[in-house]
Amino acid sequence: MNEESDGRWQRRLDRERRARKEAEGLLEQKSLELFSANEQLRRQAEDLEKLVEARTADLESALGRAEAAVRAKADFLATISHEIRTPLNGILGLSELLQMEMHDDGQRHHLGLLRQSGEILLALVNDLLDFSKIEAGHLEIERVRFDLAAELELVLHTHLPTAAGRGIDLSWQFHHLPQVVMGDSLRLGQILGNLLSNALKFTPAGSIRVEAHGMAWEGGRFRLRLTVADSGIGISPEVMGSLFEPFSQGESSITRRFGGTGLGLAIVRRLARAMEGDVSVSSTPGEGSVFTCDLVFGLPLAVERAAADRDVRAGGECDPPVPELEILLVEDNAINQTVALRFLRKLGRHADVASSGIEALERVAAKSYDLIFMDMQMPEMDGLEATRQIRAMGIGGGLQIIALTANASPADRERCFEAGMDGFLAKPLRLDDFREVLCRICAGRAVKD
Amino acid sequence: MKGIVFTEFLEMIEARHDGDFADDLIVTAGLPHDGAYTAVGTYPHTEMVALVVRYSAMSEIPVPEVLKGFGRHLFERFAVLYPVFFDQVRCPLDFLGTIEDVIHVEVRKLYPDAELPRFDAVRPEPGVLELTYRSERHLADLAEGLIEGCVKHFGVPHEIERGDAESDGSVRFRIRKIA
Repeated sequence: MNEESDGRWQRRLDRERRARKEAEGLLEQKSLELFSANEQLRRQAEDLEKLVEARTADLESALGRAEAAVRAKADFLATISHEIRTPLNGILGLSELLQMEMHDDGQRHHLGLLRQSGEILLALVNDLLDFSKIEAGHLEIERVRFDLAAELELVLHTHLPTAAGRGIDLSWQFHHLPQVVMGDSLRLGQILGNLLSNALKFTPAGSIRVEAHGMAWEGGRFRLRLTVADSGIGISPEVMGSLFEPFSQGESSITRRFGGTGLGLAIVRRLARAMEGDVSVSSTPGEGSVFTCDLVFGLPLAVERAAADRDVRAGGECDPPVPELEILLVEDNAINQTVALRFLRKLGRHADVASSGIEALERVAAKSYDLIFMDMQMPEMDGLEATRQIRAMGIGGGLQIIALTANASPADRERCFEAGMDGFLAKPLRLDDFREVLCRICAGRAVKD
Repeated sequence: MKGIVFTEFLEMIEARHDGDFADDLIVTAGLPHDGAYTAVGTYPHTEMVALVVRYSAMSEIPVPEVLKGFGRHLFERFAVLYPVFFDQVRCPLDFLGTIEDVIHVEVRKLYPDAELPRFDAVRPEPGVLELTYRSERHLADLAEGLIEGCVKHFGVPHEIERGDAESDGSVRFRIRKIA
């Protein structure tokens, strides 16, 4: 009986053991399957990662090529535009001189037309260059302190002669402007200049009224509203929508009647948007148009809000006052030398000439100058290096160095100031620009004296 | 057939009778590997048939009754082993309706190659569920026991009506709540 019982227990124990071992075997098998599945997933993840890396590298190289192409295009445009502007400089300068010296009215008239054509060509080249720079993403908005009202007035004054010449009353009024703001004065000038050129172009008679309102002062930011209202031909509702698109003008006949690239307003819109604002227009055909442009500027920590409500009507000529100045012109190009010297002579000034940076250093060492006009691009030693060396000589007495440059981008201006220059004149050179520089320097001297 | 059916069956026998009775059943049923079963294994369903037939002979209970009784027992064991399927469920009709879409989905995660019976459910009217059982094994009696176990588990009186086997071997059960 005991033996039978022991046998039964032994059998049941064996049965349980076999069941356990089978379960263990199944467990191992499942674990192995899980491990294999995990391995496979890991490999897939690695493959995916490699694929992503490869694709990223492909994209990066494609992006690099695209960027290089854009850079090449921008460089090409900049070079071409520079190449075009250099001879234009000569044509414009010499024709201005010839026109002044010519006594035959018929020939003077022809020269006037020649100069006008040159000016238009220059404006086209400048617009195209500017627009392609903006499109290529090269638009840099500066943030430097400047006198807002003074900058606006400068632009308004440059348009006064054109307005006066056509019998158009150009007036302006400023309300609640801070004395100084932080921003890009050059771009502001470009916006107002384009809006004024546009208004002048489409206003055969009557008036153009410019207003600048300080809209909001908060959080170190200042919102400016510029309105340019004209009594011109107005804009029909159909073309209003595409007015700020590139290469669009009111209608194709406008191009024939009024000229222009159709880029001016497109540039204004892109600049305004880059300055956290925008431009819009309202108009009644036959009665005139009102362009409204909002722009945002920074405010310096302490701003004086005073002294900026001005009401000005028309402006006067400025002729350089009398003080004698010792002037040195540093310019390697013979035509540019001639043009600049003639302009200075027109303004009653004489200047010494240096044809290279090295020669300029010799001149400065030998004689004390009040004013130097310095070409930027010269072989051997460029204008920046010459300026740095002159400044390093430690000459006192308020020597002013003015750059003559074809490139007036913010970066170029920054380099000029870093090298020790006091200002710059953009090529092509104009008589009025020289007059303004001389006025400013003489006025400064008069105050000091 | 999943090993859990075998292990639960033998444990039920052992509980009803004793270890020696279960041992005798296994030895006399003529099983190929002497009835060593693990719940996570898989075994030919003919072994289950052999066990049930042999048990019927030893206990003098007809095979259909053995299967139904085992079905009722198995359902209660499921309720103990897998309480997660019983959360949120308050009524046998709702539970039986979830077999295909919830319970069998979970079973296949653990045993992708499991050969499971099908329980297709329709609710023709409120308080009524029609459940069609389909299986190669033709164990409709076991299915009936499971349904009875389910109704008993929830403690809400229901009437179970079993239809005749169709030509394809499927059997339809109609479960109706007694108002």
